[in-house]
Amino acid sequence: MTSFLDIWMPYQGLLPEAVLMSAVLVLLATHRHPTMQSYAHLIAIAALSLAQVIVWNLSHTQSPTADGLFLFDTLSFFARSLILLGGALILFLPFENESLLERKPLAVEHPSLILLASIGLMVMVSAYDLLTLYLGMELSSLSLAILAASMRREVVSVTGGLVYFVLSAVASLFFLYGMALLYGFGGGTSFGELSQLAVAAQSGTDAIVIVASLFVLVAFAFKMAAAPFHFWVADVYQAAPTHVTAFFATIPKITVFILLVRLIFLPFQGFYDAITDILVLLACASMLVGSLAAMAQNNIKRLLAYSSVAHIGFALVGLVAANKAGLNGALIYMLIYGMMTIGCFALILLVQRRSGSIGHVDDLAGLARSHPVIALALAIVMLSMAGLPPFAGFFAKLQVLLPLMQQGHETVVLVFVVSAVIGCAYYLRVLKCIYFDAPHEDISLLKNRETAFVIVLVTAFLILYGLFPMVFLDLAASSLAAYGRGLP
Amino acid sequence: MTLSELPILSMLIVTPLFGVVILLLARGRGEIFDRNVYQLALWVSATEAFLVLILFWQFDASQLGLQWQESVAWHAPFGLTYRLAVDGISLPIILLTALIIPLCFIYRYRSLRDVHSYAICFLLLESFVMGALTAMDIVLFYIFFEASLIPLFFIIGIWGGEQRLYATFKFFLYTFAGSLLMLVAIAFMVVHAETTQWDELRDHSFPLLTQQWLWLAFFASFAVKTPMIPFHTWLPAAHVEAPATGSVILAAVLLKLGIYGFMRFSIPLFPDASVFFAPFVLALSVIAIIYGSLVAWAQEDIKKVIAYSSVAHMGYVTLGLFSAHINGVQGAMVQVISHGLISAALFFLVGMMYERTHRRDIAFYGGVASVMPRAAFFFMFFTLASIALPGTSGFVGEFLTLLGAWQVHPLLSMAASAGVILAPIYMMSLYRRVFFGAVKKSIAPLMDLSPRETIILIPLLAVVVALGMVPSPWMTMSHASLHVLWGAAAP
Repeated sequence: MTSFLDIWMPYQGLLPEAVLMSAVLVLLATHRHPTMQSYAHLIAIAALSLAQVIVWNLSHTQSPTADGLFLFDTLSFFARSLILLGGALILFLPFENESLLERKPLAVEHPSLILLASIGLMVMVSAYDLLTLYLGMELSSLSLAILAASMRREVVSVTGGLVYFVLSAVASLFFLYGMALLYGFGGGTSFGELSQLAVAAQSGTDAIVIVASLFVLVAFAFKMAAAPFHFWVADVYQAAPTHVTAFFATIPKITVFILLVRLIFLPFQGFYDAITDILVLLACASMLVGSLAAMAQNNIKRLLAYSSVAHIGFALVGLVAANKAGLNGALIYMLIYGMMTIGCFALILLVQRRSGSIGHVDDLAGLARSHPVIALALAIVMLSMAGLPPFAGFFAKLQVLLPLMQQGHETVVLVFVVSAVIGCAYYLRVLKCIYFDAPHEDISLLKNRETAFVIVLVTAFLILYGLFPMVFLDLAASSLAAYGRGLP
Repeated sequence: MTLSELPILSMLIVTPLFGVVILLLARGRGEIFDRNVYQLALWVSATEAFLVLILFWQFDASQLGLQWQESVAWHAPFGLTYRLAVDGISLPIILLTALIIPLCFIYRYRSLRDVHSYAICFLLLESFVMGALTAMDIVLFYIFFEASLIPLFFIIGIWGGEQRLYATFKFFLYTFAGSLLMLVAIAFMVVHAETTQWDELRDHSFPLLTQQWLWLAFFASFAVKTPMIPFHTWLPAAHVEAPATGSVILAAVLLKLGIYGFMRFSIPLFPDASVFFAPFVLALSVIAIIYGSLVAWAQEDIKKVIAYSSVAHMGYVTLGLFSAHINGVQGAMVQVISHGLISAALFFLVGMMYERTHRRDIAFYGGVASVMPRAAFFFMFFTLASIALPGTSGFVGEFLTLLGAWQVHPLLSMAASAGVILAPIYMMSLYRRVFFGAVKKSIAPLMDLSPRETIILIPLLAVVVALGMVPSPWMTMSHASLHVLWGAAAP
């Protein structure tokens, strides 16, 4: 006799998602109420924090649950924790343009959509079946497309939303096609069945299986904007409201990256050798294209878009290295990348010009003289992004470069160094504007205590990371303990 | 706890940082605030100098190995360790740094804006340089070495002259590119030798071909920093555009990091490659001496003359160092310190004159000696020291390096001696054009050096004379470490 609770036991891992979903329902049901409108983001933050607490207290499992649809292992917990943390930090950020809030329901819709996207992403990282993965992916993509297009009156925003929608549909198409092929040849979509298929493929019979897995890989490259599948990224970044861009730039990318780790080193580990060239290509192209394209940008969001492409490339280097240290390094790279990016967007949101928010790099001119503290924080974030010691960004790069060296990929090392130097040049250009250029008269700061909190948190993290690198590396190592068996 | 148990090297790194934190917390404007900031920074750097003196007193010159070791496990996967130590190679440069930085705070510009950030940058720089000079973990060294770029970037960019943007970018990207090559080499070594400790890396022998590649990568970084021809082109731009104290720091402290890098890493870690490339470095050094001198001769800007003379003087250092003869190596060490003191004093003097006239072109000046006799005296003294007059530290350095080079490559040494003739030509002609001749109308109202300005120059003068008259006690400080520098590899 099984009780009601026993039926639900396999699904208890989904409790954090359930909390978020309830919060979304509450928000949407009451979105006309004025009080709700002013407290919506706080409710969303509360839901995220509650979910975070639940994530920390749930027990991990090493075998798939819920009819083999989910695997709530340590990596899934790590990823979900990151998503919840990042989501909460981003909800602390203000709307860049208060006039957007004329349409009051937007104040509720944004947090709800961010929660929905987070749920989708959390489902993705826990999936143990391509179908579950696909469902999560679609949920997040649709929410993100609406978020991108949420400034309805501006053509740019709608275009950006549409670009994202169409291109993510194309990516999904790739994914579905790959999945269909895998299903056709292996007779299943579960990761367990796929890994057996991979073992068979390794013996050299089924080239088509490798092609299918490449299709899946391409879909992921699209989602995390790795070159040469990065074309949407600058337009969408520019189109979306800045706090939404901050979300776009961090959480989905980090999630998809972790998912890539999960896919490559769970079901596809059998033919890692076959896709390693593709990974090398993705990493090198992302590093070079991202750095070079960022050089030519004047719009700060476009600059950050291309720099994020480069950062994805640097993180992929850790997967190219394909040893335990490389995987840990890549995971921590994405964590540090997320912190830097959120801090950067928070700072950009704080600085206001009379003509509106900051659009061009030149708009920051002379910030150091009028607002030295904000300028210092932005300088730290930029130097960290450039990979200068003693900030966290340097350790992020070091932690993937050393494993890469260990595996001896000389060409990748070369591309890595060249891109890092090019990258340094455009981050320095921002610093130049802040510190050396003549100031604009009309620069002012948005008074927002929550954003200030995010900034303090990020800068403290970037400065202090170097003192306690092991805390994070151990975390990554324990999250990845079950992955990459047999790797050096 | 006895004195020798103090973590004095960590204190050297932390003390300036402590000052930075206090300064960051302080807010204010106006003259009194600025004066307090200067005062605080001076106290912090004086404390630092005091710590260095303790280190100097307690240093055992007869002992060969590393002293005052501190070690804490830090970054396990690749065995990175927070490990500090000093020996005879780093101690003189630490002493030099600790002497120069307080002087920079005694020197006060009337027109300097944002003293607060200025003091923060200088203290940060001091902390990073001390870290780079004491780090015995190669990655830790890289971190400090590279981080020292950041404050200097701001010092030149914020307080520099008209072309400062060009100068900062050129300086930063040049050195950053060089350093990244070194980082790749470090990564390679760490991965293959499976250690990051300096002494373990020294004992690990790489095959010659590997050594050569690694040597070149390290060379890319240190040669840019030193600077050696043809990697010197950032130096005049940076020097000319930097504020006076910025030039002082650049010449007296940062350039020394390049030489320190050669002494600490390139030669001990890659002895065979160093022997292989030594003729190449020697040739570059001689070119630097002659070319630097000739170019200095042709300059119309006082700061550029001194900047190019730095190129020439650093040429002597690398000449002595890579002669691999003990005389040459010791001469290189003396020359490092001597050049640090002399060029610092000259840049201070140029800064003091610039402060009064806001001009750096030689043609503007003339007859300064009769309106600023004290400045003329000091400038004459340091000019003579710069051209290696016996009795000054410059003579000991140049003579020993040439002596060392003579015993290995007599021809190169003879060519380098041409620099001994060229230096008086450009330095004396600089002196003649600025200080002698008819008093120009614009020069006449200038005030002579104030007591404060004189106080800055006196310790520099004293050390230059002390080092020149009785060099041996100073040289014993680094004798043991330098003697084994080239080890069995010495030709």
